[in-house]
Amino acid sequence: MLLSASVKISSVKDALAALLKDYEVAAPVSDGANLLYSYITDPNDVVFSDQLPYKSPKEFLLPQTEKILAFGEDSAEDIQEAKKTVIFDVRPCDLSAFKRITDKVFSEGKFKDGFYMRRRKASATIGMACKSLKPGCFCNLRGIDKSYSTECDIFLTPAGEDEYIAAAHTPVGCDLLKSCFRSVPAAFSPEPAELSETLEICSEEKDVFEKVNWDAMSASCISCGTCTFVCPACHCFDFKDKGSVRYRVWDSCMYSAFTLHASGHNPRAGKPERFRQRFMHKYVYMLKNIGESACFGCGRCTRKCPAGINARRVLECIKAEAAGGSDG
Amino acid sequence: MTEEKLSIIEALKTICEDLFSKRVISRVLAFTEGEIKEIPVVSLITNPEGLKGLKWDESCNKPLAKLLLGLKPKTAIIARPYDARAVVMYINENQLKRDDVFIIGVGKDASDFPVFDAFAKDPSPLQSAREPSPSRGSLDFFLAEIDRCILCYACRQACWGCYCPSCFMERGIPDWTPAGVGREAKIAFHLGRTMHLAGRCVECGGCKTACPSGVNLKYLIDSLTQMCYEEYGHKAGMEEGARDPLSDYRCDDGQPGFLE
Amino acid sequence: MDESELKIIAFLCNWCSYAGADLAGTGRMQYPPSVKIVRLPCSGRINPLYIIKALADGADGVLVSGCHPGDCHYITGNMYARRRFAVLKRLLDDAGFDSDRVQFTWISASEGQRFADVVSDVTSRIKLLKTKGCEKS
Repeated sequence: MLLSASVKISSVKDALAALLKDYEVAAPVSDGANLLYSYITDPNDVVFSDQLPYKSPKEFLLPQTEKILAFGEDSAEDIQEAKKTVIFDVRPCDLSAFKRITDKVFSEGKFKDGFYMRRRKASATIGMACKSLKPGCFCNLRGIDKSYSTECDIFLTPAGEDEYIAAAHTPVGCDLLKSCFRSVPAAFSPEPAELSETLEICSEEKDVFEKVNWDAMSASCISCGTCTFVCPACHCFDFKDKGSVRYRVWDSCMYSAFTLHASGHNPRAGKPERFRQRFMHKYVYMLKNIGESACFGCGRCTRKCPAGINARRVLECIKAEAAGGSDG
Repeated sequence: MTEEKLSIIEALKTICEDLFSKRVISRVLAFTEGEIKEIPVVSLITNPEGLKGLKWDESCNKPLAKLLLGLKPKTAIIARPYDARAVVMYINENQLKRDDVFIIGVGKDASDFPVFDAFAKDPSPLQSAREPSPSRGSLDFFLAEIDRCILCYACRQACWGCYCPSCFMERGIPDWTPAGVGREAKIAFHLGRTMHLAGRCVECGGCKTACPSGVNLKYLIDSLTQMCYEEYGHKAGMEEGARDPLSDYRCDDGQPGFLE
Repeated sequence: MDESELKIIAFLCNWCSYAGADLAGTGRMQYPPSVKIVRLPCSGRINPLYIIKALADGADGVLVSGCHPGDCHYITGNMYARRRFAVLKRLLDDAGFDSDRVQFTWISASEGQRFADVVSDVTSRIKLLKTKGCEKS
């Protein structure tokens, strides 16, 4: 932590107004049916609540539809723009998903993604503590402390009735805190939450792949892909050409077209295979490839699943079945 | 939970246990209790023990019939009227055989069910899902809903009638929807899907309940459902062997809005 | 606005309406240059998505025409089409689009003059809509 200060809750809207002068600001707003992150023009639109917006804020770093190049007969345009953005009220689960998954996937390793990196560099995150576990949340079992995170520029922790303690973790965070927030320096020593056990699949990849009864597990899935769209860590994409413009769009491993070959062959032709891919990618392959499993227990997939599939329950079943001696 | 709901669950359990013991069925498609009270779990129950967690209340409002496709016979389905109508549509469209499904209807009145094999009375069933349409005809309302759509296709996946092996949205040639990008794509998707469903909708509301963004475009198909009833005297899934109105014609059909 | 600037896509059936357009041409009948004709085997072959895509890709209007009911080359193709178009028109209305942009009619092979009249009529309707739309925005 580079700096800590106390901020009156009533002054946060003024701070957002100050931020709006130089930045695009994304924050939770209500569209009548849902709470969701959206670019705001008026700080009064921001909804302050303990609820988690139904989609993660990943769309501000990896937009659902992103123009990446355009060409004409004798011209080509390489899109380089990345607006200066502040994402406000991001919870520890989402912050970890950015830092540990999308950052690693897109800006470390062999292939670097300029579009993501430019956006990430141009954006600041203001985190916020969660007061309670919502139905479906299981971040406590995924090693996430819901009340504190350092994986952001500024983190706000409620202190008393009308105050936040703001902790700046980066130079950018310090600047923003000093320039936009009316704050009073205050000491802050966060107490790390005691996380009981973590829920992690410990079995061999082969056992998970073979021993788990994926047919039964996926029986009620309707392949809608909602889970992947609301997830903060899912980051698969596809390219689409519309005339002379190329777009990058989100894709989902739950769709049958995801792995469809031009020949017509589909290596993951059935629902159980696709269901298996999603969970193995999250909990097994990512752990092997980058050292982190791609689930932070935000519970969004569970809350939005039309078939009532509970991610934590699935994880528990996979763990038990993969460790079991039976052939599944 | 109210007593009448409990008694429905007991009745359903008795029916299913009997079916299991007589080996009439090998599984039951139903809702069961989940860890989150408000979210019932869609389950394929394969043995009598699995019936313990059976759930039946207003929150069990998602259509189940689509999950019957591709299952080996014989499956029992705990069906609201729309599920039974969807089964009839599947039979009419050659996707299911009547003998492969055991329909346990739960509803206000047995006459709401075009077909059933067993029936349990539900004194407080779901209200009819057809929407009043104050917003019909408003482009602003339509576009506001369209803008909320994230094109995840959950509505399509939940719909009994969307079982094409390859959806028009996923075809590159012809590319009906400009690359699946932007507002035009969403408009083409929703209008195209509504056209495909015209006269086939069984009014389960699955498109609305499955949508993660709360998009409500159900009034469009509801209006066409009403039109197909008024103009062509057709109600989807109420009669085995019936043709859906857009696969049928009469020589004296009206032509509203056509140029003279 | 010049009528030649309008883009109206006409989906015509091969056996009646397209022949009707042909007759209008060989008969030197005058009609606005706004219409771009796409020939299809039958009005029953016209997928509603053709119409939706034409509009989505920037057509100002769409004209669909087939054989008169009872005269279909394939006996009943236009009977199915009639229901389909009636439903589509209702859908466009419900969604709030001006369904006047999409017009359906029947033109036989001997009705060259009718083809010319229909194109003039549709063009003036869509021109009116477009000028109204321009005023609004």
